[in-house]
Amino acid sequence: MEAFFEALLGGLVLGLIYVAIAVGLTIIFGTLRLVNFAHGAFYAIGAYVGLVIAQHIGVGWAFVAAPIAVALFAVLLDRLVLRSFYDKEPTAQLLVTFGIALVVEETLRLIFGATTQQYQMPGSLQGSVTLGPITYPAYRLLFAAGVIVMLALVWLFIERTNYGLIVRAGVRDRIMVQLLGGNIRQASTIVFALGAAIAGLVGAAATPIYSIDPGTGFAFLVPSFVVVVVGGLGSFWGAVLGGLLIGELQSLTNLAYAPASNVVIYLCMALVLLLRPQGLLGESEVIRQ
Amino acid sequence: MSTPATIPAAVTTRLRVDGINTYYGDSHVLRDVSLHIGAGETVALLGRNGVGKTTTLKSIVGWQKPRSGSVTLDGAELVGRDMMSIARMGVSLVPEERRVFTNLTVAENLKIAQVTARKPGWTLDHVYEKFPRLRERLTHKGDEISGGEKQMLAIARALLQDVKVLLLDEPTEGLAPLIVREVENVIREIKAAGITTLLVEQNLYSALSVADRCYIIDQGEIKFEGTPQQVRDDAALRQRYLHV
Ligand SMILES: Nc1ncnc2c1ncn2[C@@H]1O[C@H](COP(=O)(O)OP(=O)(O)OP(=O)(O)O)[C@@H](O)[C@H]1O
Ligand SMILES: [Mg+2]
Repeated sequence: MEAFFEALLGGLVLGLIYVAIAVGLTIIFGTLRLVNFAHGAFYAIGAYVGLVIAQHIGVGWAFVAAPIAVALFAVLLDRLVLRSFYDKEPTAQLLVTFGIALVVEETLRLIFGATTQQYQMPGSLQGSVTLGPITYPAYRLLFAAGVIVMLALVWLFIERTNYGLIVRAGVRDRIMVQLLGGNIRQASTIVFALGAAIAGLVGAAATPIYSIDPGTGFAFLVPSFVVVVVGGLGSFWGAVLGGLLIGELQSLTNLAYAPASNVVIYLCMALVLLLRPQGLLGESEVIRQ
Repeated sequence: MSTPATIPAAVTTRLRVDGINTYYGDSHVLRDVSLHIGAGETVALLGRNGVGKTTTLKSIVGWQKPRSGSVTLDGAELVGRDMMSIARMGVSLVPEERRVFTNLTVAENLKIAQVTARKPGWTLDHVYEKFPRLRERLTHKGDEISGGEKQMLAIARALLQDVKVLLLDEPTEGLAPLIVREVENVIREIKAAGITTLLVEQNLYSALSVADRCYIIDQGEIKFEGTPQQVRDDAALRQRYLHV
């Protein structure tokens, strides 16, 4: 029973990481029509920036520096490379973002070596809390709460601000936004930077829980794509639902029969694609060109 | 003191399209199209299916850039600018099919026009006064309203901004006769408000009833410029270019 609760909480923490990455993927796809395979690299860069800052300056600063550094990296990438691929077919986007992800991974390997690394939270956050039948690391709970707050802020930004309004309108019809004088390019840059910053922040914050190596980016990217497909491409709540579902599925399968914990998420994806190809909360609407 | 004989002041030209040629890939769709609209005028652009009416509007707003020729708004060149900056200069296209944001509510569709406007135009109250149906539909999504309401919403979005030239692309297309009447009334109100308008229509008599002047375009070339009365009187002209 205790193991079950632990796996349930573990699934929540893992699922929230997936949600955070998938939300970024989904809003970037919705706004820029870009299938971004480099999104896992944003997580990895955030994690390494966080690691370095946490070890040399302080954990608090890691949480500030990681999202800013990753957002800047993303904007630069967008300006220098990705912008010329917006109108290209998905295959070209896939190849270029995949290439960027590989370059990032190898660069991280050059700088930091291939070994697995982690930083520790300060002593005050290393304790555990008792929750009914189980005790659970306090930082993991704090992490989960933090990600939820962050996602709520992202939702408020998209649903309740003027920028968010332009972003949502642009998801449906970029031409009409421009015909109304809306700055779709600026909105796209903001969304790209925001999605990247979320991945970077979560990467930095999750490192005390999940140790990192240069391959971490892909390790999180692949299940996050599964999440996006399961939840519905372009849907915020789809990413939330899909992320929690996949996280729990993986964690509970790991408890029941560990070797199946990776296979099960692809089975889940196949099932969803068969029964509801647009994803659980995806709309099968036409997007205007 | 004797008053000097006054020459009637020429209407200042607000929008001038001068010899534009527009292509889709290799296909040459507009051939040396020229037209002009005076401040406060309502001008109709008439023509059959696929002759280049929409392409003319797209060329004006920077959606489909002309390869040659010039488009000026109060003397300022528009060719070469992007859609956003042309819109922000006050050239407002209400496109074919309305392009209401179907994932946003009616209220949000109105809000975004206010948010993106360089200068505000009509107030929301003014819009509700002219389009009372929209006020009742504020919380409905853009795909939960009727075709007529979508058209009203699309026009209202334009009017919430400081419009210098309003470009309407077949505003009565696909609407029931009763709703067509309503849209015509709205266009008359817009005219009465002194808003410079270029109206593209296939619905000939609807357009002739509001226009001050009109152009007929065929096969990408302007074939006629004159008054609605001239079009009404010239059966051969109508037969030749409009098939009515
Ligand atoms: N995106 C496009 N790509 C290629 N050709 C196009 C495109 N849009 C329009 N055309 C062609 O350009 C010509 C003019 O089209 P346009 O849409 O301007 O006509 P229209 O007068 O607005 O017609 P309608 O009354 O049907 O709206 C047509 O022959 C059309 O097939
Ligand atoms: Mg047309």
